[in-house]
Amino acid sequence: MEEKKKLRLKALVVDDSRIMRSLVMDALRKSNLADFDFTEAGDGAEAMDRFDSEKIDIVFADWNMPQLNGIEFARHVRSMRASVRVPIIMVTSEKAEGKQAKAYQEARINAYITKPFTPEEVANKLTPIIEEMSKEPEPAPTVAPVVTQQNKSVNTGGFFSKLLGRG
Amino acid sequence: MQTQTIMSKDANRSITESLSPTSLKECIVQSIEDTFTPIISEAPSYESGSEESSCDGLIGIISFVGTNSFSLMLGLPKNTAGFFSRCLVGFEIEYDTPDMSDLVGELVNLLAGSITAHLEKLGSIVHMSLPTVARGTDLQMLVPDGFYSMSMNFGSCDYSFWVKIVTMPSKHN
Repeated sequence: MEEKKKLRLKALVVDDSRIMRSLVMDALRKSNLADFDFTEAGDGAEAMDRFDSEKIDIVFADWNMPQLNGIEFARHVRSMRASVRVPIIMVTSEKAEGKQAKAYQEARINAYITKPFTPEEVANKLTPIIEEMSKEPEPAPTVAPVVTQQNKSVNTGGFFSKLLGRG
Repeated sequence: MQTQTIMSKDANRSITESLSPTSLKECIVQSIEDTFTPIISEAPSYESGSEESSCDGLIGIISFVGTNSFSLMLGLPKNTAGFFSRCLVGFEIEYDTPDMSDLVGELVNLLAGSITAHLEKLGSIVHMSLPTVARGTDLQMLVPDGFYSMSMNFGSCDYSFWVKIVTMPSKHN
């Protein structure tokens, strides 16, 4: 079977624990789902500084962190028009169902991974997201295109006149 | 069987009522098993009877606020901290480093996440704090007069640790 070409993804890993960031990155490497280039942040505020929708393809964020927690960081990312489609995966010790529901509804995350996790669990949660990213077309332009006809600007008056004339 | 009866009894209480200390303890023992079994590849052995809660090592502390409000302490002697680091990250983290404090903070954080999930199933909604880690010799957590506390010891030939809960006295005490 022909091996699919792996995506190269720039991943932002946000956790106030250096050990946990290492475990997340290690699990992602072992998943073999993509080739990851990692950027790390120690809390949500630092993540906001490092997040750039043009440079980060995917985010892995803890929930409980000082300065700015993962949910608030995710809300900020989602409020930015250009990063609405960046997948955000929560990686957290919060296991309560109410918390998970909150993360999906309020922060519009894409997946939820509870700690501790195995590389296999990370791969299972991430596979559909990576597959979706592999299919994605070119990102929509951030500026509305100017529609012109050749050598003419759009003349809506002429259009409506024709429509009314035919009506 | 006794655990199941107690849990069921508390599950029928009003959602605004806090759990009894017995039920809280059962919830925490279950959370300890759920959290640490995947890490150390065995269920931690609860040592009933002894209630030592001091150590030369590290203590991870997390507070919970909500339907039940309490503080939880996880005490790891030095050799147990090393044991857990080998289990979780695959190698022994040097004891006198920030990374070891980071590890203990994460361990108590993992435990806290499991506790909130178990409490939610019993209708008790709590929010956990960020972890604090203390390090030293003969560490003891002193309990103010009038507060209720309970300690649990776990151990085997490879490790030993304790968990202590401190809460306000309730009508259950």
